Amino acid sequence: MKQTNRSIVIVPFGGEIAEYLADVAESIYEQFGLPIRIEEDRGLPAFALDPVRQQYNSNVILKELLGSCPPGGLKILGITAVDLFSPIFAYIFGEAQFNGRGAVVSSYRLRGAGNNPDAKGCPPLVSRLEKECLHELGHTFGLRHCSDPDCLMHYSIGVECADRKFAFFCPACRDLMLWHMASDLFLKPC
Amino acid sequence: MREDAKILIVDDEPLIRLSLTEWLKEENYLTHAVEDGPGALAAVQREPWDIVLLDLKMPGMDGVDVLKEVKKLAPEITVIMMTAYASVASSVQAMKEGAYDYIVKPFDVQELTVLLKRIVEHKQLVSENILLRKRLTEQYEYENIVGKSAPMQSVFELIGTVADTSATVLITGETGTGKELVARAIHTNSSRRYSPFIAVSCSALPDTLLESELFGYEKGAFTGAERTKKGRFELAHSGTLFLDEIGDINMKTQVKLLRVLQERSFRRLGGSELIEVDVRLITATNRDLMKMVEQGTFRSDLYYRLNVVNIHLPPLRERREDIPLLVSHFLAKYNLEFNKKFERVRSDALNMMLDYQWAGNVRELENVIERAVVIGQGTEIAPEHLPFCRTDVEAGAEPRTLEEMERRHIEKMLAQNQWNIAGTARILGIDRTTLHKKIKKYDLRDSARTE
Repeated sequence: MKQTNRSIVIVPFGGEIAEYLADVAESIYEQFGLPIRIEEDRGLPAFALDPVRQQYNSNVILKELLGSCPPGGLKILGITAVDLFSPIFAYIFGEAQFNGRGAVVSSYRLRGAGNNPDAKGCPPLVSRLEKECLHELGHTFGLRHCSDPDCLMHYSIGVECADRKFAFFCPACRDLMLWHMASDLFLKPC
Repeated sequence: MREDAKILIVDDEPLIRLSLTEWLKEENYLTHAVEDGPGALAAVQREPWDIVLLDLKMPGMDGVDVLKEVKKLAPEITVIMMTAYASVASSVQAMKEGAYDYIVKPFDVQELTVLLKRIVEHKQLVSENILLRKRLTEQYEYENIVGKSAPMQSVFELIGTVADTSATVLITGETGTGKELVARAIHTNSSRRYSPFIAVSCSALPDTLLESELFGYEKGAFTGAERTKKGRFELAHSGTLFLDEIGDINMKTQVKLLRVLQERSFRRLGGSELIEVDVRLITATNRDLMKMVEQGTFRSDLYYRLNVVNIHLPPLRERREDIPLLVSHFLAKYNLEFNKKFERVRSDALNMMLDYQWAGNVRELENVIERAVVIGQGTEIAPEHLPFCRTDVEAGAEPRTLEEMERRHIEKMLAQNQWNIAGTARILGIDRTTLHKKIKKYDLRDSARTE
């Protein structure tokens, strides 16, 4: 089998998420089977801060990521702990370019239950962050939301809803993801 | 989630259009975005949409104005207003104009997801409901025979069971109950359906003519037989022959019919050649054949040959629960035929129909609805469209003289038999000449023809 040197690049924004990076990288490797490269922390994304909303614009972060993708990077994933918004939504867990290259995820709203970030008895933040990263990367591999409630690509309404799904794709989504990956690796220019 | 829910986005901000389109695509919706009111109206006119996400504040045509126009063009579309300011006044106005809901920018992703999901599920339920209703109506229809009542359901079942056998069927029931429809349904559900279905009304023809009609004749068989003519038995070869009013045939024809049934062959009038036929015979009558057998006017051997399977059609007054279903069936039929738009029947009009005696059964009901559709205007059948009740009122007053009684009875019998003189005379037990004299004496007229 032809080996590829194309990798999934992880870019941390801020030190708060440093402790989760190794686990996240491992589960991304398990699901996609591509080399993972963790870049140096770029610090808090101050360039994306909206002074009125006091939140960070995910579109701006995505643009920054796409403009700085290193050679050989097939996908680039930004991870941060700041509160993200997109122009149309009050807040988001993450955002991805559908069938594109970049994605960004925040751990900010993955904590706790409902509106209480300190609620006790919730699954560890790292497992939610892993699922959210895999879900957004799934979108970059051309996957839409899946109706199987156990699948990673199932749409989650609220963070608790995300807890019930598994940290892997259903067979149908997996096949589709591999098909898109092959097309990304061998048909699209670097 | 179904992939064909179509959402139209109307917003003057390019960023909103782009972001919403991308997000909705990922959510498995089909989307299209336009920047202003005129663009939205053009899109609505061009193709069908399930949901419109409409910005409230836009330069030029305001969101509420666009909403009004969209509702005029396609009232079934669900419109959700998008507003940057939680302005209660304008949102209330939008809801009054028919908006389903409004969402405040920036949206709560959960709120929007749930809202769209709810609308799509509702629309799916509505369309499923329409489909189920349609299926239900089809279930109550069998080859144009309509009925959900228990006796009609067993008739449908019996038709299904006997159709694909070669059994001879005797259909009994009052005039106008749909005996010929049942015969046709049996034929079209049998393996003979690609062969002819030939119907003969035995009461419509004098006895000698009936014989030549059934068996055909050779050239020169009688005065006026200038060429050889095939009979209905020959024409129905490999198909079905339906003999209506079988109780009206004379003893001589009964013998001939019995012979054909036994030997599966016959000779034309005046002919010597034996013609073999493969015909399934279905007969019908509104008379009590068993009683005629007892009285000696109908051959018992023929009766048992014809009555292998008996399908009895109940009179309409014994299955009143079918009246609303029949009414809507005939309304749909005649709406189409006369290009009218009757959608419903007023409850007092329906009650009138439910209370009426329907001596002429389904045929009479069909005629009443046909007349109402022809003369009426609008979308609702009202009591004034149903003049038949007047005869009811008249019938309420007891006749005083025997003559009056006779006049009414003859008139009623004529109406029930569609002014078939021979048939009516036979039922009344008088000859045709006498009946003609009575019609003249009482100055009776066929109202269906004179109208």
